[in-house]
Amino acid sequence: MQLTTWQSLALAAATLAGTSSAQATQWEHDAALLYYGESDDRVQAGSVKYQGKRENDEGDKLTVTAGVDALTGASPLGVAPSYQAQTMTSPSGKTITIPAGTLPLDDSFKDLRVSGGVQWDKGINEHWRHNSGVSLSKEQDYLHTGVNSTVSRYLNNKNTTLSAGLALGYDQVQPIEGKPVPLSLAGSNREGDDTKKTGELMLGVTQVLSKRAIAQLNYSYSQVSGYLNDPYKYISITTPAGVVSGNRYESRPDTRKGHTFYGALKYKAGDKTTLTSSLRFHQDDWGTDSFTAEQAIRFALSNERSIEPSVRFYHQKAADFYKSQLLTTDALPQYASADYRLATFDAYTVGATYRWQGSKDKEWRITGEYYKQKPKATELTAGQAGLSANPGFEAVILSLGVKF
Amino acid sequence: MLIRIALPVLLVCSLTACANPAVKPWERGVLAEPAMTFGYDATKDSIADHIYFSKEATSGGRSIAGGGCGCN
Repeated sequence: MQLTTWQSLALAAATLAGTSSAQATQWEHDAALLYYGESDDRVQAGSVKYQGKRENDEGDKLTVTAGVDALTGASPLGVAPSYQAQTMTSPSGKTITIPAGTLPLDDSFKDLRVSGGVQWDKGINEHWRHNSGVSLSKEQDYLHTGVNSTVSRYLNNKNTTLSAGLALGYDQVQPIEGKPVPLSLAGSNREGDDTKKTGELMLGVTQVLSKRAIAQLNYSYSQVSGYLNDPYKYISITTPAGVVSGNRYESRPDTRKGHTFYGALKYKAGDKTTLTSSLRFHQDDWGTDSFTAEQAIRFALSNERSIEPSVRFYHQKAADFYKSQLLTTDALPQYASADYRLATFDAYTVGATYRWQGSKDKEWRITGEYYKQKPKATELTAGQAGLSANPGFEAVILSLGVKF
Repeated sequence: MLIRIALPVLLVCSLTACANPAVKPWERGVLAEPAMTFGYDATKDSIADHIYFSKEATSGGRSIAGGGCGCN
């Protein structure tokens, strides 16, 4: 949205008064519809997201979020492809037959996720603020509960903001048919639920660099413990000739510790162009180090319309225990997973957001993106020549949003 | 790792003249524009974060208040 001189002055006045919005004590609504569709009839998702924000005369903000996600389609089982047809029981209890030479997928995947949260942001005094909240989400087989709190300190005439935050999560994993024993044979008895605990500490600084540039730097340390397996993923045991002789449930470590550095910059170039750049580095004790770079350039087409092309590049290294399959000649390792999300891959996103000002102060946007995940090829046996355990996929992401 | 982080920061500082950061409150009209505000596109960011969380092994970094899911 390109602002007029008067709007800019009003916003500057609001900033001077210590508020970020000139519309105090009114609800601001931000709602969106999402379609996400993967190639080859893999996961398809539709979502509705909402955020409502109300600011009082003192500049304190209450934010309420809610969302519903519906998912269906086929998801890779982790089973290796073979030139022989494979019949197996899917982790959700259904008998499936995989045609020879194709990637084994579980097409019985369906889920509905409902999520919500509340945040309260309050000024303590002229120099300090705090922001605290709770989050909750429920799926058929998963319950997430979380709390978070962040304290911020303004310095240097509010040109610098330091922040420190802590988030804690307690999740219950409730797999359909029960929790499998890691590395037990597919079809083995499954029983009970489990839990996952998450802790994250974040330290951040937001710095005004000039009248036209602002930057943000965050460091976060995260620690997750408990049940970290995907209960619906197998790993195949394959003969050196390339015949899948059996499948076992995957096995991951029960702790994970990681460090993330994130930096973002916003820069207004001229009257009509705003650049947003970000870089992220992640390192953890599973070996899934990653690098992410994003760039968006927003061009104001008029006072009411803008277009914002964007690109994103992501690279991750495989987890130390990622294997596309295990061989019958090898000893069974302590940890092994063939989950494609733990493989080495590059991912690219290109897209654009078009925004326009509608009637009654409604600000609309439509976003279209194309996502491609391109894994590094992993070697299978000679008997599986020409097959891929992780061919990658493409996805289309479309969303329509409105603020009012 | 440190060099990979420090170099972009130094580059950004040199490009945006952050050697003179003492911006007065009445000079922040441009910085107060929605497009210049971190977190302005909260719902759009939340959609992107959730998709990448579901499809990639690493996530987060932008903000601390996140949700959880047993994503397939």
